[in-house]
Amino acid sequence: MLRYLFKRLLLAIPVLWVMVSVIFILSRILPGTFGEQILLADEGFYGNGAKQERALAYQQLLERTNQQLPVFYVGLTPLSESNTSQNYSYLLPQFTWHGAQNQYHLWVSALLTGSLGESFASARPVNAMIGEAAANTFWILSISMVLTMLLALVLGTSMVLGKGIRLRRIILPALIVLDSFPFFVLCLLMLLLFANPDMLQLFPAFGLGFLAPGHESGFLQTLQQFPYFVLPILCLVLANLPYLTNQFYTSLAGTMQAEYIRTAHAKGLTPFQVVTHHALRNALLPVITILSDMIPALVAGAVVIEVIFAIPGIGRLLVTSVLARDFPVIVGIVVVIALVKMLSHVVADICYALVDPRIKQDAR
Amino acid sequence: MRKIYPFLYCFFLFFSFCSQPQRQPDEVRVRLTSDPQTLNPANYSDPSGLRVINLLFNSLLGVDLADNELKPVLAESMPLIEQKGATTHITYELREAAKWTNGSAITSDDIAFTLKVLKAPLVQNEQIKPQVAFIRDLILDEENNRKFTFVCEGFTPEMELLSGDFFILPAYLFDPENLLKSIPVAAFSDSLSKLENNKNIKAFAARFNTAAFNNSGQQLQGSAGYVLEKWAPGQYLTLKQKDDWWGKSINVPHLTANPKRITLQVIPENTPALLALKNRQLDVLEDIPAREFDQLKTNKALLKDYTLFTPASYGSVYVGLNSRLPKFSDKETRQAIAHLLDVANYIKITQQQYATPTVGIIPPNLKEYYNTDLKPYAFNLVKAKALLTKAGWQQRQSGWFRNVNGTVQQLTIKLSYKASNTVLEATALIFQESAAKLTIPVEVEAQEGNLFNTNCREHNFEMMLRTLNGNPFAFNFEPLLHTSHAEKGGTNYTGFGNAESDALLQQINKAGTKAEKARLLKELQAVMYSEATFIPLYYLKERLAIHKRFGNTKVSGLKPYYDVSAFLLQK
Amino acid sequence: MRVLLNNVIHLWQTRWAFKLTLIYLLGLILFILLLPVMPLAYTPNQMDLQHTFLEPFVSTAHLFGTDQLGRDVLVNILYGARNGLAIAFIVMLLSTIVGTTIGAVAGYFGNTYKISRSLLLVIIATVAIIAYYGLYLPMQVKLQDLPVRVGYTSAIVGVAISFILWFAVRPLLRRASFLNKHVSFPADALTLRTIELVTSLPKLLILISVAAFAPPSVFILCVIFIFTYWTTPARLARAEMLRIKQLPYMEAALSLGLKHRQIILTQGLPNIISPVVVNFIFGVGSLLAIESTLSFLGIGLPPTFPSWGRTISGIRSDLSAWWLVVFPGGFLAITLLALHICSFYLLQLTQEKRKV
Repeated sequence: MLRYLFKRLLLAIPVLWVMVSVIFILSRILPGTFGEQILLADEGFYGNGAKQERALAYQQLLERTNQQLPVFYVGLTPLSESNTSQNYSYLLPQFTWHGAQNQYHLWVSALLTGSLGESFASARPVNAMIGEAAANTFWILSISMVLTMLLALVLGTSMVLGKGIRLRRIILPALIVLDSFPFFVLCLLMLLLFANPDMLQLFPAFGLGFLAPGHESGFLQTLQQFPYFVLPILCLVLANLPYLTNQFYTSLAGTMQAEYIRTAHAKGLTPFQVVTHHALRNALLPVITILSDMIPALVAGAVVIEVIFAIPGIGRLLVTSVLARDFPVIVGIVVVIALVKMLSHVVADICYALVDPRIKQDAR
Repeated sequence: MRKIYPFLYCFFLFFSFCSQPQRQPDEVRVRLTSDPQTLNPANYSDPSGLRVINLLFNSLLGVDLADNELKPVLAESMPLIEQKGATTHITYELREAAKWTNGSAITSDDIAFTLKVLKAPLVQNEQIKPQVAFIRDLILDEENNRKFTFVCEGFTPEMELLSGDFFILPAYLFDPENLLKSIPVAAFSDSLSKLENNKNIKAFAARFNTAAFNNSGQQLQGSAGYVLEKWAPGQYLTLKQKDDWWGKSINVPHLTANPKRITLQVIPENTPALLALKNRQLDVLEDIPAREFDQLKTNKALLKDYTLFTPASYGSVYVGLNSRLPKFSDKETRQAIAHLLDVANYIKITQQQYATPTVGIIPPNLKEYYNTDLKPYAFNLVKAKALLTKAGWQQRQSGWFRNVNGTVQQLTIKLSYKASNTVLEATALIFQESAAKLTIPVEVEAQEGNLFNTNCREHNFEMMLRTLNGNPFAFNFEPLLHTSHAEKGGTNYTGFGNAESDALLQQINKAGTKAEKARLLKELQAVMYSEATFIPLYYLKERLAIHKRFGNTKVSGLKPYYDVSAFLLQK
Repeated sequence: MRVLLNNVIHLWQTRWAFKLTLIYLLGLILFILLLPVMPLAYTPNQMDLQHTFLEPFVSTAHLFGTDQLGRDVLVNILYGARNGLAIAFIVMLLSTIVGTTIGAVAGYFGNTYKISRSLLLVIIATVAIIAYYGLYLPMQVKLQDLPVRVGYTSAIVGVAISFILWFAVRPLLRRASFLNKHVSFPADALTLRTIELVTSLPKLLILISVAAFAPPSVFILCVIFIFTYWTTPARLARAEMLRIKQLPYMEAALSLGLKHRQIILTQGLPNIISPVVVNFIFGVGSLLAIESTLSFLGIGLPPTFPSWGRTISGIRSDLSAWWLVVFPGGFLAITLLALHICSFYLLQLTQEKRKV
């Protein structure tokens, strides 16, 4: 098992490197550059800065942030009026060699020292920015994931057990109704219900707390922040519960009809024992897949949560940096997501092996 | 029964969070829609950043929102402006009382340092750099180290405003090693390539281009009444009043730092911001959506604690037609389109009547300049039809057709606007339906912000909806309307103008008296009205709520619509 | 086939829930098909500016009320149902087919499938040629505003070179003994890495990137959704394949002389149907209202395209307009419920059949 794990992780490194490179180059295909709005004078009742001055300042910004350098070692000569109007030379790809002075080289050399670069906008190290933002997102996501999982397990198993049929008739439709709320409507609804003086004023409406001068001890601070997390987590749980429960339930119901479950029943085990000892293991397989697949989707879901509840997190950071074309931050975030994703797939594979020992022999 | 207990526990846990954070009465809490990108006074790029820096740093001149007038802040009085041939000399004297945080006086050396930082190569100053490019040199008064003269190129009416608009930086704090001291200001106005290899500038840039100068309360200490106490990124910024601020010792009503603490909360969405207002967790909320504002008006509990304001603002929405296109090249066609704009309904549907229709680019509340002889274009199908016929369009079964250079062309309109702006979207859709009544097909296209701006700059549009922010200080419309700005990349997107209108714009800039200026501006409005290339639809009324415990709020139509540093606790 | 039909008829007679949902779904489809000829008082984009945010059941003219521009909610729900279901079904169908195929093949063959070096070489060369002539050059033409002729020429040249490669060069390559050796093709690893890459790119990033080139049209949106949605069925199919590959009956099937394709189709696919169908239905559900979330994130769709999402996002202008959420949301819930119940019974049917 350990050897397999080691091999799997070792293999992941070159794959991750290829992926990171692809992500870096893809991100630069995004039209627009950081600081383009310098070229665009504020429209108003007077001019501030002539066009030429703006162009010069923009040029300075490009040079300061290395955005004027070619993206990669090798580049394709772009088409132009001249080589398409008369002849057909464009049909032969023309490569140009840029040498080590390119954005990719600089970025990878920094990455090898453990740095994801600095934000164009605020000159802050991207590592620190992501670290700060990811902490909040991480807590919200992981707590809500665990809660959703547990709830889905409880609901799923109770629906296949004994009196489950009657329960199912209530729970399944309720979940589907829940699922048909668009996510942002769900969040707004939660806000209007539980953070509204006209309805129920239970939780704070936004943010992660205020500056409280005087007592800033770590634990107290965390405890004070707790109420701020309740609504976002609740929203995420409610949003993901229908899908997970359903997958789990169908998968469990499918296994319950298998031969060996009948055998187990015939052995005289109680239905509860049958489920927990035999059916659950097999039913978990697709659920593991879904969970490991859900992580990036959760980050997207986190965007809505973070915008509505005004929580600083990785999703909001991604949106603002995409809109500002703050490339180091965009690439940094995507790389972190890819890394987490990669790890989750490794974990998923291990889980497969644990749940279904027959896969273990397939040490790829 | 056993199963009930866990539920009960959960229930109590749930309700133990009911507490609302206690508020300090002398703290003002306002909302920001986004986190500032940077607080660097030499390179800020967004309105959120500007709002915070305004409370940390001072400029030479500033707008007093109490009467919307430009007043001296760090300067003793308004500057002396002399035109000397091709240059303009603007002379200032600094206030004697003005001090940095460490107690040292602000001198002309700080002004020189600021100009050098804003003009230097390699340094993070690109956002502000173009605005000070017109200042070519600085002459220091030899006797008085608080007196200095900007030497500027040419003359434009906004020079007074712009020369006092940038934040003055502390040389002692930003450049303790005096790296920039030896280089004269004029050297930064020539070709910068020589300076790019200057050792001192490289050293300064290495120091200045760091995160500390973008977000650290230790470094970002200016001459204004507040210091940055804490910035929790994405959450809030807290500013603390300075203990012995120089502005208090001189009794100038527009130099204020009254609240002990100012917190700027980052809340991107409107709904939680409104709920925070209802929870009394925010003291001020601006840009309230029109329908919500109407509902607040009937909320008695809220009105007990908050006052609602609707000052007439300088923000407007305009329609731009690309007059370079053959189909829009004649006046009559453009006027016909103007008659298809149902402004009354735009105001009713998108603004709930919180807007004033306008005939031209001058806001209606500036009575002395607004041309009352004109009537705003009204929705009128008959007139539109007549104008189209006059322009040579023929109505057929499927639409309007005209012979352009030998080919028959149909009148179709592609209307673009910035995506995710619901006001503009509703406006565009209503226009589409109005035009359909005349069988003119309109394609509505929402474009992503960057794409939309690029398309406007490259003249790659037919008809567009944009917002415009004005002010009552300078009426230099050359960048927007002069033909010299009409080439690709310029700010005259619509291609408005001819030799006559160009001359008129220049005359406005040279006007000596107010009466003459008023006459010329009214003429400009008449010209723009008949050209109908650049059609302002209405000027907005700002909608904001402020807590009643504060007085002296200086509510104004100018951004940011109130002066938070002036808020006074009322007994 | 006849057995299935008989079973459905049996279900129809015995289960009233199945009967009800089937009637609802068939009715909905019929309604949607007849929409163009129905005598509706309004078109979905027709505005009534005198009556914006009209509450439901107040006026007989607008039974379900109106939205922020006075558009009739009922008519918009009907048209939204048509547009939404069309998009959701096409997207989910295509992505499920693509995903399941890729996943099943990857899981079944693993990393050990043998192909000759010459074939591998030709495949790689073809991919590179298509990328240059089919993607890069047309993109450049679009970006630089070059004449369309250039794009066509490059496409034709690209196809021509690929043809030459496959029909002239490949037979030649076969003669070289070095190129005739077989290497194992890492189908599974390649698929997994692709899935990882696609899923690490947040959907939002893709949408904003595309929006920066051109305003998103319905077609582009569908392509993006297919591009991002195929991964889940692929992962599900792969995992299931990995599991059943180990089962004894696979060896038996192989020794019986069954072909790979037959094994995948007869043994593998029936097992993965149930998670894939659940995924399909939830996918339809999430797509039906996705536009409201998109518009929340500031990604504009054509504002003249009637959809449930458009009606729902009207709530952002006025939080008290509950009818903008309740009616489309209610329809969404009922439709989803019907789909779920229907699929539940049908799945039960297939599972019972397998047991026999």
